Formats: sequence, C-alpha cells, structure tokens
Amino acid sequence: MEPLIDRAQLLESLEAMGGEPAEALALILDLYSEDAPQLLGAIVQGAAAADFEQLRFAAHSLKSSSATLGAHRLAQLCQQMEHQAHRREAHNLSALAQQLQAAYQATWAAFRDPALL
Amino acid sequence: MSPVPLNDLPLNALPGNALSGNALSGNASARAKAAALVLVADDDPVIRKLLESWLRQDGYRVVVATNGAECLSCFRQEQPDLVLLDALMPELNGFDCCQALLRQAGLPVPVLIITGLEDQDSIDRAFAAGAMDYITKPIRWPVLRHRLRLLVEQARQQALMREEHQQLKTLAMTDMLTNLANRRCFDLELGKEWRRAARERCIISLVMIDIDSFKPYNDNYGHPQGDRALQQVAQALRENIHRPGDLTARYGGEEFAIVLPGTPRRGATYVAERIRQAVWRLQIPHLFGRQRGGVLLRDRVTISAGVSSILPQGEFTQGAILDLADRALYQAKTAGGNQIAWLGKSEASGAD
Repeated sequence: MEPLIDRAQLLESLEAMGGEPAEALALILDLYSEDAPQLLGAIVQGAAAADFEQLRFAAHSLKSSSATLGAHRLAQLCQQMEHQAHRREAHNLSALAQQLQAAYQATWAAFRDPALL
Repeated sequence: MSPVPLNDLPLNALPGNALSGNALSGNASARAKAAALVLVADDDPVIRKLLESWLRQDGYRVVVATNGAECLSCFRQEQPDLVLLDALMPELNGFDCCQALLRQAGLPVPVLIITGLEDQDSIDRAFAAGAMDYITKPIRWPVLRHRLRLLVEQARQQALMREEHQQLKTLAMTDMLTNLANRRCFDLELGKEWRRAARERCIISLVMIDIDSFKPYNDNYGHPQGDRALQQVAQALRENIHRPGDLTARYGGEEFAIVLPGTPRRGATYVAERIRQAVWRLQIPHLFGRQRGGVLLRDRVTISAGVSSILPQGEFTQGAILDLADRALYQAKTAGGNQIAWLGKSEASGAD
C-alpha cells in the first residue's frame, strides 16, 4: 500500500512556495480544505448515482492536489476511481468510495499532526 | 517654414500591407528586459497557489485564472509571455482553451499544458492543440524551472527576430531621406496595382513629379539645404495624398512618383495641381532658377508634374504608363515648369 504522506514530495511542494515550511503548509492546507471536502462529496454522490462524468472529474481533481501534497494513498485511490469511471464500471463503486473517504480522513489527520514536518 | 526633421515624418505614405505599424521602434526588445509574465490557469486552488508562489519566487510576474473561459479573457487583457494551462478544467478544458487562445493570439505564444494524465492520448491532444510542451502532476519543480526558462527565452528570441525582420523589410522599402516609399517599393507596388487594374478593368493614373531647377538649387545653397528642400516637398506630397490605396514614393534624385489606382484623368490632374500649389505655398526661396530675358521667373522652389492615365489592356504594358507620365513631365518642363501636363490612352481615360 502507498504511504499515507510522502514527506519528500510534500516538502518539495512547500519549498516551491518559499518561506517557512510550517507557514506554507498552513496556507496550502487552508486551500486544500476549501476544495477537498466538496470533491469528496461529489465522489460519494457520484458513486451512489453511478454518475461517471461527475466521478471522473471529481476524482481527477482530488487526485491532482493530493498528489502534489504527497498524499499518495489518497491520490492512488482517486486514480483507481478515475480509471473505473473512465471505463464506466459500476462494480464496487460504493466500496471504493468508502475506502476513499476513510483515506481522506486519515490523510487530513496526518496533515494536522504537529509532528508531520 | 522650418525643415521637417526626418524622425518626425510619419510612414503613412507607405503601403499598409508591407510596412504597417511602428516598425522602426518595436517593443520586443523593450519586452525582453522586463520580467516575463506567466498566465496560470488551473481550477485547483492548491496547485494554483503553489504555481503562483513558486513562479513569483523564480522572478516571474503572474496572473491567475480559475478556468478556461477566464483564461481566455485574461489572455486578451494581459498578453502574457507564456501560458501554463491545466488540462482538465470544467467547461472549457485545457486543450480546447489552448487552441482557442492560440487562434486569437495570431503570434505564437508558448503554452505549456499541465496534465495529471500521463497517457499517450493526452500528450497527443496537448501537442495537437498547439502546446509547445507538457508537464505532469505532481509537478517536478526543477524540471518545470528549466522548461519555463527555455520556452520564455525561445519565445523572446523569436519575437526579436520577427521585429528585426519587420524593421529590415521596412528599411528595404523606405527612402531614408524623406521617409517616403523608395524606388524599389514603387516598382513593386506599381506592378501590383497595374495587374490589379488589368484584372478589374479599372483605370490607373501615375503622377511623376520633378523639382524645377534643382541642380542650380543644390549648387548654390549646398546639398544639406537641398536635402531639406526634398524633405519639405516630400511632406507636402504626404499631406496631399490621403487615400489608403495611393502610393507616394521618391523615384530618384529630385523626382517623386504617385500611383493612383482607380483614379481617372480628372482626379489625377486635380491631385497633381493641388501638390503644385502646396509646394508653391511652402515658399522655399530659390533665386537661381529659370530666367527669361535675364529676369528671374520665380523666387521659390516649384515642381512640374506629368500625369498619365491608362486603362490597362492587351497592347499596354506596365512600362507604358511610366513612359507616358515621363513624356507629360517633359512637356510641363519645356513649357516653362511650375505646371502640370497630362497624357493618356484608351477611351475611358478621355485620351489624346
């Protein structure tokens, strides 16, 4: 299984922002928390309704920002969802959505862990 | 009237297609010194923020757009040096956005597409849409740094070359003393207009102008003064030729030529006469001109003009109109100068 947070990737992105890594993290998590819950909601809803277009787009977006912040496990699940939506496979959609939700919560907790950096 | 400095003379007498714009002081070189402006379009706030902060740190100026439609309007307003486009955005995706903005740009602006999809199809689509390069998410910052630098340098180099090319093109067609079209430009344009007139069965007129007694003027006032007189006459020509299709050129020495497409005898002789009067009103002193019986005929610089009008038809060639105008000019000269004469062929021109 992919690591929850790839520290090297996260630090690379924070470094790209410049300034103190802790401050950069706080700023970027603010932005992340604005969008991610909505995308997650769209994924859960899309999975329940088998709305593949919505699923694909939401999963893709959440994947991009998560991967950029080094949240590889979440990103990997998003990618799985994106591919499945692309192939229009209804099989196991809600189970995958649940896994994704759990991974999101774990990721968010890890981001908020003061020991992260 | 004081001499008109060369730099103040507009290039408005030159034909628009070959020599439009302020080509002698372009902005590509000025632009090359300023920090490059990057337009970032991404619907993801995290990546947008990362890109924006990173670009600013790297010395770029940044404008951001949150979707494809916003990107297009931003592009129009800001004219960025480079565009970073997310491939997957709602409504207008990056590929379509890229295509649309390159179409409206006219000039090649480097677009770099950022894609989370590292599949052959997306890469093909990016290049098909006109993107110069692509990068994948998560962004490898050191790689992005090199690609951006190269793309911006390349684009600026190309802009400079385009500008220099334009300048050379203008110089090759311009008479440097008067800023009118030069002989080379005149030959090309007359050929073009002649063929057009033949195609459209349309009359065309030519005015050949010669400054009277210019050799004694130069001999007595000196060549610098002679140059200033040429510039003043050129300015009088410019002020009296307004239609976009007309061409005013310095033909050589103290001779000028005006091509008047679609203009019959009456219009062409009217233009020539207006110019003769305008030069007369310049009152450029000339006390070494033509004499009659030991008395100076005129106290100033004057011109003579030969006008010809032809409806191009089978037997006439382009040389015919030049030949006629030249003969008409000779008539005006031998009749005493400071006057115009007309010669023409074909019924439509009211011929001789």
